[in-house]
Amino acid sequence: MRKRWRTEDRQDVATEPGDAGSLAGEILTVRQALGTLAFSVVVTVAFLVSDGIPDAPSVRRHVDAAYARSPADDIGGDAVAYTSPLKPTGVAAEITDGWRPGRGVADADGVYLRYADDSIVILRRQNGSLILVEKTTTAYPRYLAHVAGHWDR
Amino acid sequence: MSQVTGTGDPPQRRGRKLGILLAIGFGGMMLAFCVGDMPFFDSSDRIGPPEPAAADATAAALARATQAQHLCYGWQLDSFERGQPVTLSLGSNGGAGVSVRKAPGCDRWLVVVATVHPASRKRDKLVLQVVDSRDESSSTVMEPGSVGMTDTMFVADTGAGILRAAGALPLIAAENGMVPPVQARPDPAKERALPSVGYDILRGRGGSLKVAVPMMFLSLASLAMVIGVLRRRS
Repeated sequence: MRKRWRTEDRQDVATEPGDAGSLAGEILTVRQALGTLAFSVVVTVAFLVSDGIPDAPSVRRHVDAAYARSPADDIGGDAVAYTSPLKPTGVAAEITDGWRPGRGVADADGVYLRYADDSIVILRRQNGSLILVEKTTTAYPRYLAHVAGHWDR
Repeated sequence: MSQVTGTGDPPQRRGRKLGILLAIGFGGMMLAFCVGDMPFFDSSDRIGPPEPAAADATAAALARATQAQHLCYGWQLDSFERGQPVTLSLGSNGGAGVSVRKAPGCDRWLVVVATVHPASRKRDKLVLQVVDSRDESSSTVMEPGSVGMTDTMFVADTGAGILRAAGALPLIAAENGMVPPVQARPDPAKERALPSVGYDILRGRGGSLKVAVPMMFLSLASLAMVIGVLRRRS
């Protein structure tokens, strides 16, 4: 048996059978509907700006979790280094499978991925790959000859 | 005859209409994401050959690699026009427009062949393969992600995409032990302003948005239900 809630004060809405919008109509006033709209906007904005929050999911965090750190290969304070026994194209395939780059290119030296703020450069090494995570602002001039015409188009 | 959004409507009635509009809006968004996978929605696709200057530059880079590695490299971009297969572009270390099979001094070669199906769904639009002269009957599938691209990125500009894939061949050959590695010797370039590439999270595989939108819809529905229950209890 369906439980009845107190609807005596809302006869104008609840007693219309077969109304397609009955669910929304029974429970939303204009103010509440606007509230839900505001809520959805807040959720969307929070979702978008989470890109810039340090602890939010990001390609930088993904690389940090998936590959071995190699502090000796860091480039000053600019680039954080990791290593992988996989070849560069294998590492690139792994990373781009979860985090699609905005731009990317490969040449004889490695694979260069550009994201919103960060870049991932995967260079060929004797036994695998060296992965360098760096802000695009410093990575672009560093790898300019390799990425010109690709990252900046 | 009742007004659609008359100011004389009681608040609940106006709320109902707004609720319906919200539901239609979110439903439309979800539908758009589904339809976005359909071929007729891909107005951003640019299926055609590369720019001649870019093709020449790639051929020159491949020629440098060939000189160092003693392995020839080439590219071929195939598509379909009115159901008939057409080759939109080919080139090699011998030059743009020169098939690697006919390039002088090329007994051993590696060629990347892209086949673009304009009428197919996004995920089936592109087939990227690497063919080795030692066994032309078989080929290796090249994942666009392995050379820094995505299917969407490739199909958005097939000319640039095939050249990028070709540019990766010297790396792939070295990785597979076919030839010794070679240092890329790219031409000097000038810095330009970097255009925005949008939000990483919205480019997530399968689109995080495809998860987020239904989640948001569910959140809204839940919130509305809670509000409704609380109102009735009060």
